[in-house]
Amino acid sequence: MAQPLFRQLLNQARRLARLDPRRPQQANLRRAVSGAYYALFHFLIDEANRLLLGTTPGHAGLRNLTARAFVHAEMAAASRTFAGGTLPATIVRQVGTLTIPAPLRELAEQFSLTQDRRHLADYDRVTRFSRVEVLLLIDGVELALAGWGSVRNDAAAKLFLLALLLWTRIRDK
Amino acid sequence: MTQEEVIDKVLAPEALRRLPNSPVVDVRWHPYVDTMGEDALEVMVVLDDSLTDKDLKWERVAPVNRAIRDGLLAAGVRLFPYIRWARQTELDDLGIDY
Repeated sequence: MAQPLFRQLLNQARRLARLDPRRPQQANLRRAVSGAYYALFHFLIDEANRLLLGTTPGHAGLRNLTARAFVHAEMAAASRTFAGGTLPATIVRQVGTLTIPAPLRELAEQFSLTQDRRHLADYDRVTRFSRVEVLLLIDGVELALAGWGSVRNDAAAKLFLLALLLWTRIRDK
Repeated sequence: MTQEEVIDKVLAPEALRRLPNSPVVDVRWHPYVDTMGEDALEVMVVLDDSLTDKDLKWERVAPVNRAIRDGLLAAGVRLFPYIRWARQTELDDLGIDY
């Protein structure tokens, strides 16, 4: 059985970052950064879909459709808030006080960081990456994903997944 | 104390070098506007040149990452730190001047 897309992307990112043992080519490092971001992006969409639509095979089409509704900027804005460790009063008023557990905060930090680096990797021709920076970025994503299992049933984690899709429509209500 | 002074204090290399098994040689930062258009910080953590890629796993730098993020938040700095990592030799090779 094929590995999930996020896992393939992360493995590919690591392979690209390790190419060219002596002097890494920026193109390979840039694609590695981009791949690491998209691994996290698709992982979070899979998790949000699981929460919203379950995992039954008959709903695969609905999950694929919903996956297209996630917006990078909205996901980043939600992540920045969760990375800061404090939810807006408007959200607390609706859901009560929630503690953001450390693994969730770390995942949100990693998403914010990786998305920004992905923009630079794909569009900014001035930025240059060192191999160690890229390998650490991939490691950071890997560990953030590993930490998710311990919090995925936490109310704050479920709110985070909803926020990735709905943040601009719920944060000020 | 200005915000710049607060950031300098939190990011002082001496403190980050004192963390257990710290790979830190130096820390440099500058104001940054991120790709979302938000004011932020870009922090370059310069790593010990003698450490190989195999030595530099996330577990090794995680305490430094945590100390920077928690230190800034505790000091009231709400700017998100985009933390970068490189050895000085890599910065020199890449022509990155921090």
